[in-house]
Amino acid sequence: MKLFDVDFFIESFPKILAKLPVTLLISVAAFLFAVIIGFIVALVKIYKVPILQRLADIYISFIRGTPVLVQLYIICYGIPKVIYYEQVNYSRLTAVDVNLIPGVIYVLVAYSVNIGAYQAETIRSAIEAVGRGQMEAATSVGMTRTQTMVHVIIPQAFVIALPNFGNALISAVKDTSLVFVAGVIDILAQAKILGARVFNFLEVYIAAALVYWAICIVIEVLIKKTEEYIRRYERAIV
Amino acid sequence: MITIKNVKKKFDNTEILKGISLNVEDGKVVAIIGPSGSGKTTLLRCINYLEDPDVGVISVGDSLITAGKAGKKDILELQRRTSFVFQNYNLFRNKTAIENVMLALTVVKKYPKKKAREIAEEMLDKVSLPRDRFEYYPSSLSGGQQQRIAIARALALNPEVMLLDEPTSALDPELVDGVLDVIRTVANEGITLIVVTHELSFAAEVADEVVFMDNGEIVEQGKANDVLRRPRELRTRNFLRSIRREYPKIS
Repeated sequence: MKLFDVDFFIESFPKILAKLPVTLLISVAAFLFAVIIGFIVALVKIYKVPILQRLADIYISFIRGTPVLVQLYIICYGIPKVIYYEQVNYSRLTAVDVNLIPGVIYVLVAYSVNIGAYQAETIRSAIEAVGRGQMEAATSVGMTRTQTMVHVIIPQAFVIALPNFGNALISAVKDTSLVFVAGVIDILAQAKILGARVFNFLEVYIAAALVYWAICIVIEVLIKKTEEYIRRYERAIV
Repeated sequence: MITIKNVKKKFDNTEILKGISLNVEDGKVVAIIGPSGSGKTTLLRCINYLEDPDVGVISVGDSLITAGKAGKKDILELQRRTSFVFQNYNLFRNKTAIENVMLALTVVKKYPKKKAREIAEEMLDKVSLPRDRFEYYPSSLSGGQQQRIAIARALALNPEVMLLDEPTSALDPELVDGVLDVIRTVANEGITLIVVTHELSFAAEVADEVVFMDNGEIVEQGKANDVLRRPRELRTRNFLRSIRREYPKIS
């Protein structure tokens, strides 16, 4: 018996790497949706919109207070059941065939909603960190709230939020390793499948870990470069 | 013409403005002086609704707002007739010097970029910002340069009145004169100015009228020379004396 089957490792590695696009697609897409959700929720909290503000608090509290795996189960079992219920009891949504909805959709919904809750807080604090002075300056030259947001607040808040965005994206890449529960084959699911064929798991899991590690290093570098570029206005030239 | 009628403002339970009335004719320069906490900055901020007054009427040109009855549009309209220069400049940090001046021209006035740039260049020349600094971000400029850009930004909108809130208080002493020079130039062009300031000699020289505020009310107002050299009220005299003791040079 070998502790580590190098040949099996080398043979599995490209097959696991082949699922990199799946992991990347899910995590990047979910992250982008999450930023949109987070931005809307952040605005609701900043402008203290009645009722919606309470809902936003409950949403953030629930997502942060429950495991993402549980959320994933709720979405994966909940959505098909709701659709089925509507079809059977009210003959609505009949154009949808529950069995044809790909698992990726559920996964995207679950992760967007999950990451969105965390992003809401990041974005809210970033917007608030821009400072009242900038907002007042824009008001004093007659800009509307929306104009102020677009031209002054968001560009600056983005820079402040960037390190957190980087961390969130890295977390997203790793957190999506649970998507096998929806039948989606990503890096980790592929590793499980390959390992199960020969009951050799250590090699494939290490291969999967290396792939995750590599993506995260690349993301870190990209974020750093973006940050350097975007922070140019904070650098003193003289 | 700017008319302020019975303006009151409370923060929590502290009455900051206790019913201020003031008229400023077009083209005049009014200096507001007074101890800190007297409400001068709050008054200035109420004039362009950076702060909503609780009670009172503010009118600038044809735009008139009664506190509590103002719609968003009315407030925006008022804000577009006034411009504000802040103590700590508040330049847009994500914009270069020239972009700071251009932004409101393109976004609010909807001027094409080229026209906005021309106006911005003219304004920055007027406040004597060196041309090679036009593309610098505020973080790379001195306080004096930033404040002059802020004045250019305020001027570019061609406001009916410019409100300046202690425009030199945050500056290093050697940069004060450059900014005061710019304000002097602006005053000489006939733009209506309301300046909150501690620079008494500057007020004496440039202001047509001086208003002394204390404890949320106007204690004394009149010709600059009268208020500063021959104050009628005891409170004014005490204040002037204390300021002259503290900053013997500027007075």
